[in-house]
Amino acid sequence: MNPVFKYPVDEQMLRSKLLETQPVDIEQAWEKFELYLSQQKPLFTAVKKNTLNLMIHPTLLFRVFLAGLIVLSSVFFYRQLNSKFSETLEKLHATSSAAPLKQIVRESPMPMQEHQSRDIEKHAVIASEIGSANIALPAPTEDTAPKAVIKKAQVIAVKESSASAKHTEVSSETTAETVKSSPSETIPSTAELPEESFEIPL
Amino acid sequence: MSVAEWVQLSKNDEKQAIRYVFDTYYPCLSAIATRLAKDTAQAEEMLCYSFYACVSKLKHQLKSLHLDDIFKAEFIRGCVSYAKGFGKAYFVSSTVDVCREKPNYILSSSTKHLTDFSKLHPTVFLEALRALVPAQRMVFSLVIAEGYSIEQSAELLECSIEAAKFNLEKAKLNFNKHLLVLSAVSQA
Repeated sequence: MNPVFKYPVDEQMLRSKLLETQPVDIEQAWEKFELYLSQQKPLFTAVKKNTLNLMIHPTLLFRVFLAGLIVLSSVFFYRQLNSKFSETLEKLHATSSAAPLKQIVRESPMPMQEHQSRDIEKHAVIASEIGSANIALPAPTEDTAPKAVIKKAQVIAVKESSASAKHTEVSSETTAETVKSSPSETIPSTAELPEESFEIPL
Repeated sequence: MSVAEWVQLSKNDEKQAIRYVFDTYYPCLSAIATRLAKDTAQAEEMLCYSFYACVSKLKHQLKSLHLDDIFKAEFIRGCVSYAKGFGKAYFVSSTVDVCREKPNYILSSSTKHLTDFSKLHPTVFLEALRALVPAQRMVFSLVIAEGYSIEQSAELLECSIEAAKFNLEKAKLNFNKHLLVLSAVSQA
């Protein structure tokens, strides 16, 4: 398209005519603009929002949020799994191994007493090695160690001391008395032992 | 006044700062809005909309600039977005029936005595400009009155350079027709 007008308008003149400003009433225009401004949101609050946004950087906020999410989720899952494991263990304990364990506990002797008797035997062995048969043994209480065990330990201590003293004469009566005092325990004395046991093989 | 000084003033007293800018630039901005709008009422609305947009954008502009450097450009940008906000159909094909009631036979008869346009009053030019379709009026005002190049106008109006050229040629032709008719009517 090539528009050709019979009477073209000079552009410079046209521009000067268009740019001629007419007198304007600023006060009236300002009143209209004030009315328009009252309908819009205030400009200064927008600036405040921007400064607030700048104070907390969005990327930093996102990272903190992400880290918090990870930590909280891990703690939650850990606790949940832990509770589940404990529940399953308790169930297993209650169903499968609870009854036999109880029986075993009933049949077995008191573990504390056994432990104390072993201690006493050790003391006796130490005393025999030293050579003094009359070493003071720890005085067990009636609650913790039975009398039979104590006597057995004393007998063992005496035997050991007699052996270490290299054929020193020890009255068999005392040993026999000690043995007799505990009828339940049938520990043979040195006198009652068979002679064959003392013979040294050639 | 620089933009930084104005922003500082607006933090202390927002209304006073806006009033200062309004008083300084209103005559110029009012003339621009009058040239770009189809009538006085639309020009007033366009002025309020574009001035508010311009002031709100000032706070995000480079603070080393002077107000004069950016105010006019931002205002024209606001006016264009206001006109395009009506919708594409209005922007491209809306017509203002200024000359419908005027007889069209003047153009066909001898019009030599009507060709001296320099004697016409500026309001006649303005009326002829307002009679154009919005798309043509925009590009005509930007290129002829505001001194924009066709490329700059095309970028501002978000159209191709070819479309801007086409609209400008059509606007020139239509403007001359309207001006001729209006001058004949005014002399009659």
